Amino acid sequence: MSLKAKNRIDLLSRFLILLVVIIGLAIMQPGAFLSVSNLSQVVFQQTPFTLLMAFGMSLAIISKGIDISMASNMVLSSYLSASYFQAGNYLTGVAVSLGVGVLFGLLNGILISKIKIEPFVATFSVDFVALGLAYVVCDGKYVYGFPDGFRALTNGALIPGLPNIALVTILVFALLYLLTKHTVYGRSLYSLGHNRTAARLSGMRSDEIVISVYVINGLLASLTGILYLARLNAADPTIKGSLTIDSLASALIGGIAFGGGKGSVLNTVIGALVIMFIRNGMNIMGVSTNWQQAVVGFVILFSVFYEYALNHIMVRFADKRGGKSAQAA
Amino acid sequence: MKKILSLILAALMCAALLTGCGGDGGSKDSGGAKDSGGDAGKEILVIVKNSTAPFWISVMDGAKAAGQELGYNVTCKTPVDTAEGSGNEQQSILCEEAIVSGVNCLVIAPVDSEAIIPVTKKVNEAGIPIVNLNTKISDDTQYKTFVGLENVNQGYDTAKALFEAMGGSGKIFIIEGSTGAQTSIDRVTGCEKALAEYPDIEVVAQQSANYSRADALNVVQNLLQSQPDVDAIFCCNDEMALGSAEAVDAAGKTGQIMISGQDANDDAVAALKEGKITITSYGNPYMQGYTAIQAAIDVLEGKSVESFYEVATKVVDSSNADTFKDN
Repeated sequence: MSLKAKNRIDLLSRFLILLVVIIGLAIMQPGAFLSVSNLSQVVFQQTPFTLLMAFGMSLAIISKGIDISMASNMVLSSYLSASYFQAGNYLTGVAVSLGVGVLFGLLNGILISKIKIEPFVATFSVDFVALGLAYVVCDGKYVYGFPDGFRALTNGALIPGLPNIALVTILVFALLYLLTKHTVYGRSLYSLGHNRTAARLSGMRSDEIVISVYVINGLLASLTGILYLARLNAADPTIKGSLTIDSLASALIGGIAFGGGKGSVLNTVIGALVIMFIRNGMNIMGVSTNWQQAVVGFVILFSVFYEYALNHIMVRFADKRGGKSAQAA
Repeated sequence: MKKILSLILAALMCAALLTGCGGDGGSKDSGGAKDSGGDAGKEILVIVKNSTAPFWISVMDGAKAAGQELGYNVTCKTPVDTAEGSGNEQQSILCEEAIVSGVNCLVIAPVDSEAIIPVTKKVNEAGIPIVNLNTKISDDTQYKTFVGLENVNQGYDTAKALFEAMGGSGKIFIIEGSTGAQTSIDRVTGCEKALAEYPDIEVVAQQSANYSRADALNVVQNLLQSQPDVDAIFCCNDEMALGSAEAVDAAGKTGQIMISGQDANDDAVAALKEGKITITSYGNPYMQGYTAIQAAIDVLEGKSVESFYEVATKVVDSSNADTFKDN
């Protein structure tokens, strides 16, 4: 069985998991959950934040790394740029925010590729640095109240019915999908995740690719930060919340294998939707927050186990077919 | 070029490493009034819950001001991690460090009222008196005196003001703080006390939003889907009230749904003046910090202390939004 077919089956089955979650919640809470306003609110307003971060997490995992630092990078870049946005200096704000994001992305990338620090350790340390600096800058003073023009980033809708934030997310998704699936760069990224040594021996500029992944993550983090400012109408260091965990969970539930070189940003979309729908459904049903955490944990465990089982089945299936064709020959 | 780059990176790594160590030690010295002449004055260590919330920064400011005015060395320390479990762990480590470094008095606002007891026992065994600040330690033999407001009373007063504003009947959401946090439990208890006096107020949903604005925005948006006809939202702090306000705003219901917060942070008061939230309450954090140091000094000088110094809270609404900080 070809790798492509296998990936398709995997993606399809992840989609089935999402369907099961939606149908399950629809049966338990038909009125409130299935309403158009609820579904569009979850998909178009709540999921984009987790999803944008999860895209970055997925890219890192595909390249056989991980990025723990994105959420803190987001907090810092949004904090440093907040006052510019508040004053209406949008260009300066964007420049500061993206600048900070890229800087920390670059730092991650260099630590990992040039100095050969384990991705987890490198991004974990950078996470502390970024969040710490954000607290220093913040010093308990929250920036509150942004111009309506800026807030239209999340409230407004250039295309009627589709909030701008969802539009941005769709554009980012399309861009990343093309980049990873239909370019030489994308192919290098996957082969790098699959087998780093082989990739390097075949003459790939692996260091540059690794650095680029973390720079993209930095950009995604600062973009998410800007959107958060608009959505919350405030710069607030607590927005980090569970974003790191949620983005990691989205990637895993979506089927981005931790071993690297597998899955696409489409998997990530499914994973993020599963988490956000579960959270939404449990809020509506009035399930306590403690349980929500446990349930998300169970879903991650399930998806990791599922990954393993699926591989197992496919290998056996391939063996049988291989055996038969060998006999026929 | 390469050398310069590697130097810069080495420096950055050192910075990263240092921050990492800070996390391990669980300490973050927020640069208190501690300076030269440690032998001259007596040392009072203040441990609060975090160094990022405006509330706690104000508490520390009050404590430092009292230390300076009354001639004692006041140092403030906080956990780096604001999560409940690790926050307690880090506070425990800070207490153990305080025993080793030999402070004269410990002022503590515990993250977790129960889990802090093992280490406060050690502090007492080391002969260091404890002044309990803001959040009660569950075992009252652990401290000489308690300084703070009654979170139960604060919750009660705020809820009562909200219910009055609602005209005594309607549906509410209760948005709790971090699960297990004593302040949240107390404020909800206060709210329930008020509920008992208003039988026509119905709680249609009760969820936690982790004291976070972003979480509250999502949670309230979700709740509004199943209960669109809610009349008011009782939140255990201002951050969540502001998140709720954005959710209500996004649903186009600003003005139709009343929102109450607690703490009277600057941006909450600003939102209150805009009409986005209805009520908050002022816990006077500066006075909490100041009074705690006064009490600690009384303990150190052997004066008799009362078992409880209550710092009064004030309900803040549009009528006193400009004046509530005047005494």
